Order: sequence, then structure tokens, then C-alpha cells
Amino acid sequence: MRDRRGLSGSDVPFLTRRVREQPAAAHPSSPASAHGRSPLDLSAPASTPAVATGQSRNPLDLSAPSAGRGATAAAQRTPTRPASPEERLYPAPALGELRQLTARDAVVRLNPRQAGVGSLVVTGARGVAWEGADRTTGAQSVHREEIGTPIQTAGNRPLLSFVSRDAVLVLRHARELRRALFIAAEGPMTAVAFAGAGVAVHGSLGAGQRTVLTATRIGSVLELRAESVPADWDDGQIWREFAFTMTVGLGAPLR
Amino acid sequence: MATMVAGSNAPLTAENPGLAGVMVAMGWQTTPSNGPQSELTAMAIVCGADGRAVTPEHLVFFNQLTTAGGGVRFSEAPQARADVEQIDVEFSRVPAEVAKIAFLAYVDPELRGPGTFGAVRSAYIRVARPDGSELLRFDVPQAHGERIKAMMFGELYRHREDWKFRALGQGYENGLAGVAQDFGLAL
Repeated sequence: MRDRRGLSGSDVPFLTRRVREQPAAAHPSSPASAHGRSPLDLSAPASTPAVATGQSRNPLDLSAPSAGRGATAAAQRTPTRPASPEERLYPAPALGELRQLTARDAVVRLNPRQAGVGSLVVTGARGVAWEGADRTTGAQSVHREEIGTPIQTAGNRPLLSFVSRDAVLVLRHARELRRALFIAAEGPMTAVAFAGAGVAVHGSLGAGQRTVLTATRIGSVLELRAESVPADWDDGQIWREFAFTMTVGLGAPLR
Repeated sequence: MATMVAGSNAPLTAENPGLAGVMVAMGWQTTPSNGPQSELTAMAIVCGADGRAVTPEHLVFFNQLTTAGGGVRFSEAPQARADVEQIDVEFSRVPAEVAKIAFLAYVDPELRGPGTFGAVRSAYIRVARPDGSELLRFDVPQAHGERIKAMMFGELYRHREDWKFRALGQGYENGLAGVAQDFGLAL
């Protein structure tokens, strides 16, 4: 049975993946004695029983081919560089390739150059919410009502905030962002990067729906995705739907 | 160590046999401000014989640490040094099609008060051996900084079989957009 002790109080059990501890037999306490090698002999990596036999491997683990699928023992012994987050992404259109996001074509990605220069300007949003790389969260409405922890960048600008009626994300510091929400008002939303590449999305992708544009930083790229929530939900319900719990800004100045 | 003036060039591999690569470091100081302030960002553009980027993606900066061809890598500058940014070049891994590597800094074109080089002081570029010992240094002159939004600090370039460095100090009033236009970059 799944142990949920580590998820106590969390809204995001589906985002949390437990790493099962391997049985003791799969990781002998003394690999040197098990293989007759000196523990400091780095001439060739020792293959663990789990990899060598392919028997005790998690059948759902697709990170490396199993012996049963024709991989050679030599290939298994060759240490491989773990794939970067960007390399593990499935293909998606780049920002500028799609003119409009729909329920069917809901995703575009900003490449590392688009995701690192200037501002991402989102029009047509009634509110934004952010989660920083340090997991602090906050939100602001187009009317400047604010809750949670603001993220101030080195250039004395908030990482994400409204300027006039547009939401502005500072891409020079996008690495301080983990994810963000842009909640549509009534009309369409647009998201435009520095060089003018952009995409539009309707404020509602279906009857009784409201669009929420999510921005997720994945390594050096930024993914924009159009999601839908019931149109009558308030911002609090939308934050909860996306597993946002606003943190208290202890270090923030009093307002 | 040699100090350069704008427009001058200096041999690297010809004067330093066995030099396998260099560390190009850039630094500056920004006048503090209580409001939004200029944020300089270093960039290197990998160019072909026509002086333009080999492909629109051939640049390195903080969010794209290397290029497909390799040989040029954006690195964290050690905190022990005054340098703000550091870019490493390994000559043997730079593709033969690359004729020069341009080093510049631009003011990030943020919507809220992007600023200019007017608040920037003591900008420099220096070229050092991989062990950190300095070969060349160019202190970028301060002129018309309040109008400039991007600055070419210098460039490494091939000269026959060797690599040389040229000090530039040329400003762009139209900032990164002008740089992208001149070098054919896709941003």
C-alpha cells in the first residue's frame, strides 16, 4: 500500500513520486567483495545485479533498455549522461509557429533564447499566480490586490506582476520561476515575447469554461499551455485546482 | 598581460604556442538604484566567414550555455574574481566554419525601465589562459553610455591557422534588436 506520510498536508500527491528503496539484495553493501574488485578500482563500472539480469528492474522504468529488448551487456556497462529536462520533452510547436491555442493544440514552447530575453507580456488576464523556484507562491489581480510572497528580482522588478492591464514576466530571471498561471478575464488573451513572436487564446475554450494559461519552466525552456476551468470559479478555486497554496511573505515589506 | 585600446588586435595562439583555449571574462559595475535598473547580460555570437551567426541559434548566454557545434561555453564566473560573466573557448572544438566569436553585453530589454549603459561603470573584457592567468585586457571606454543599450566588447577571430583577439567597444543605440539584425539571430 502506498505510504502517504510524506504527503501530509499536500495538495499535490499526483506530482510527488516516491522512489522505492531497492531490496538489500539488489545493492550489496560491499560491491567490491561481491564482484571481487577493489572498491577504488574505477577501470570499469561494476554492473549491479538488477541491471545485469534485468529481472528486478521496474517494468515501467523506461529510462534504459532492458536486456530482454536486445541491449548488449557492453552497452549496459557504458555510463550514460542523464537526459536533460529539455531532451526529455515531447515535441511541441515553438512560440510563433501557432497563431492560436485551442483545446486540441494547447501547447507552445519558448525556446531558450525566447525564454531568456526581455519580458513575456500577457494581455487579457484578470489575475496571475506564481510559484518560484524556491516554492514560494503568490498572486496578483489586475486591480493590484496581492496575496502570498512577491518575488523581487535583482533589477528591482517583481518577477511577475501587472503593468497597466498587462501581466509581465521578467524573462531575464525566468530561472527563479517554477510555474505561473494567467487567468483569463472575459475576452481573449495573448502572450508575446521580446521579438514579437506570440500566440493568442480565447478566454473560453468551451461552453461554461474559462481559460487559464499556464507557464511552466522546464530547464531553459518555458512551456505555455491552455487549460480550462469552470467559468464561475473564483481565483481561490482556480489556485486550488492547480495545487497552489499561497505562502506567507515573512520577508516582504509591510503594506 | 597587455592592455588594449579600441580597434587594436593581438595574437593569441601565435604568441602563446600550445594555447588550447581561452577564458573570456567580462565585468562591469552598475550604479545602484532604488527603482528598476539596467541589467546587463553577456552574450557570445558564433559567426561564419560572412560575419553573421552561423545559424540563428549560434549564440551562448545564460539561458543557452553552448551551441550545437561546441567549443564555446557560457560558464559561471568564480566569485573570487571581479568578473561578472565568463565564456570558455576551446579552440580545437570550434568548428572550422567558425571565423569569429563576438563578445557583447546588452541591457535586458525589459518592459519596465530597461535602462542604458549610462548607469554602467568600469566595463572590461579580458582574455586569460584556462588557468586564469591574464593575457589581454580591454577597458571599455565610457562614451554616450546614456544612449547605448548594447556594446560589442571584443572578438576572437581566426587569422590563417591562428586565433587573434580584437578590442572593439562599439555601442548599439537600438540594443539587442540591432545586434540580432546585424548578426542574423533568432530571438
